Amino acid sequence: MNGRIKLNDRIKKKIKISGLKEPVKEFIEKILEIELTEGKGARYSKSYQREIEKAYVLLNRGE
Amino acid sequence: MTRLISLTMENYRPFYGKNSITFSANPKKHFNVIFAGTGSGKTTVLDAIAWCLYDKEIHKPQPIDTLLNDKKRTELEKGGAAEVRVEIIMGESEEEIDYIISRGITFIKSKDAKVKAIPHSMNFKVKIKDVRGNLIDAASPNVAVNWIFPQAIQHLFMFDGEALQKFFNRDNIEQTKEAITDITQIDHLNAATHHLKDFSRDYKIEVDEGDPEIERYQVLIDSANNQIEQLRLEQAEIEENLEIARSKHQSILDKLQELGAKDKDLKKMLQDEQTASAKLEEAGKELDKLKKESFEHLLDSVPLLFCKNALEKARKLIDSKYESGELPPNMRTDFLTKLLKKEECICGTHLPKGSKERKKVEAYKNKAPLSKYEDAIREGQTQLRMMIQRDIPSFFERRKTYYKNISALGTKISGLNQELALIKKYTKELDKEEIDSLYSQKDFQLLEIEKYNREAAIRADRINGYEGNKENWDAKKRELEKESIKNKEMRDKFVICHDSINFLESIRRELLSEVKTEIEKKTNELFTKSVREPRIAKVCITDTYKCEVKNKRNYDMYESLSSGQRQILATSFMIALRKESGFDSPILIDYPFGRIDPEKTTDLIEALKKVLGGVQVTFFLISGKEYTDSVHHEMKAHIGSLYEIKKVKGEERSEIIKHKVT
Repeated sequence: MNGRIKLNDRIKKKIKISGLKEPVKEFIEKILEIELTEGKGARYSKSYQREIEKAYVLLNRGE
Repeated sequence: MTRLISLTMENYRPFYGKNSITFSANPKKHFNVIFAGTGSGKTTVLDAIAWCLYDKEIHKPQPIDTLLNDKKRTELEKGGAAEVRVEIIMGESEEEIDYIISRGITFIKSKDAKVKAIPHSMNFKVKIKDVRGNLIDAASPNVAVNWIFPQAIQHLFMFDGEALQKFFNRDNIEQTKEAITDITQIDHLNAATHHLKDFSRDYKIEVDEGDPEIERYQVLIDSANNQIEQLRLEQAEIEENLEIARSKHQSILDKLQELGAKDKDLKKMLQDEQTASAKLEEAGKELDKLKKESFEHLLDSVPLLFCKNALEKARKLIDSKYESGELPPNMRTDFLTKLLKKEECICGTHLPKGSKERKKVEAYKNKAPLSKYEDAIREGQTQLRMMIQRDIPSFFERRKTYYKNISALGTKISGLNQELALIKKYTKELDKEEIDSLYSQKDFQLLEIEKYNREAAIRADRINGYEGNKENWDAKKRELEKESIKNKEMRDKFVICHDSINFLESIRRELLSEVKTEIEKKTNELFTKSVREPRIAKVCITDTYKCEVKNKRNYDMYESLSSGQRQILATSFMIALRKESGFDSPILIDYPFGRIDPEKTTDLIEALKKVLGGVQVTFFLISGKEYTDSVHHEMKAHIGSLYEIKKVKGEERSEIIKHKVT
């Protein structure tokens, strides 16, 4: 467990086999984990912001 | 897969001192059996687990001050303290422990000899593995426990067989639906989608909101939302009516139960009583007729029987006359009488009165006295032979037949009387009109339930249709919005959100469909194998996770299932639910076979072995009633541990005894 909430294996598999670019896959996994831990509070927006920025940078680096 | 490794209860309720159960973590020997007589503490073990995990006894909740074992309570001196503690160890195996969960509370005996829990003395600890694999105290034990064994869905992993029948009531369906979306994390997908849609608005700068195409899609989306809202209102009304019909149906069933129905169909019993009475009456009449015939036959035959010896004698006499030549006579007397009257013999000789020749003829006539009776004697001889050789033996044959038939009818009547007596045992207090009325009302309510279910399904379909269309229009709207964003950075970020939303929406639909299909398939497999009822065609799971049992005409016949069949259905459904949730946990089942007859129990165990291969299952069974020799035989190849909970005679405690699996 390592103190973190685990994302459902079924969902993880679907993300992995999707045709999405890697940064977007990672982004989706991260925001789902955010939902599992923080989603019900108002703090999600900063975490989302951070992850979108990360994904954007990785995508541009890839280009 | 995380398994239960051990459970230790210290001074918890009936368990004095430390009492432990070690569970088998062997995937091949994955059944653990705990059996006990009624009231020994079997269900208390489940409550110990629930109390340890959630600080809540789920099955038989009692005040916290009663938690301390009675023997321990008595032993305490004034001012003395004792602790109640429950510890659960979980992991892959005894060597690979992942979690240690323990809860304890201290009790103290006051000066006035009252034993109470010390407020705020409760301590709850959860050890989890850190990145190095060492067991450390979790910062938030409640969060940790809810990740291992979420309380919201504990009823899916700790099955209470006695409450299973109530599982399909409305509240539980809602709870199950929420539980499913929680376990499969579909709720989180929805939340993520919703947040992304909010977020993506920040990137829609320079989007021309007045664009007619974008506006057109927005109008379609708004219209779909209105339709959905209207349909949901209609659904709510239908649900209310359905609930009323169900409640009325249940009241009728309760009333029938009160009148003695249980698993019997009272209406059929009254009909059976009527049929049996009619058959009995008919058989009675048949017997009377047969007895009358028999008596008449006897009367008709009495002279024959009484005269049997005389008839034999007469026959012998006649036969001897014939044998001796006396019969038939040389001359017939009527012929001689004619000659005498004519006064002339056939040779022409005159026969005047007083003449010598006439006297000769008269002497011949006197010598053949029997000749005038010769025809009658001949006839009589034939009749006598028939009576003796045919009629008398046939009389006895017929008597035998009469006695056999009367006896058979007597046996039949006796059987019918017994059958009727058995039926009357249940029907003697029944009012036929009342029963007929109740059954008519029951049938009517069933039709109402079917009608409302159909209407609800129609609306659910239409809502799904609108939701699907909405998603498409929303995706198209976002495509258009994406194309309109001039700023590259904003557009790229919008695209990240847009692609993620599309992906999340598509996998949400897939997940719902996959999970529902698999749950339906496994429930069907387990249920139909265990029940084998020809009326049942299949089990269906609706979009709202309601279980329906369809007959061959595709009507839901759930309401007409017996209590045992409902128990099997609920067990099958929850096992399927758990299996497809993607959530890995052991299962604990209390009283799974109590309402099910032995043959179906065997079938259910066979099906469970197949469906729950490798999953650790702990069965809590009542000895004798559920844990029988045949159940043990069915399960033994899979039993990894076997424990008995037994009350200790003369003491306020129960003990846990480990048995070898033989």
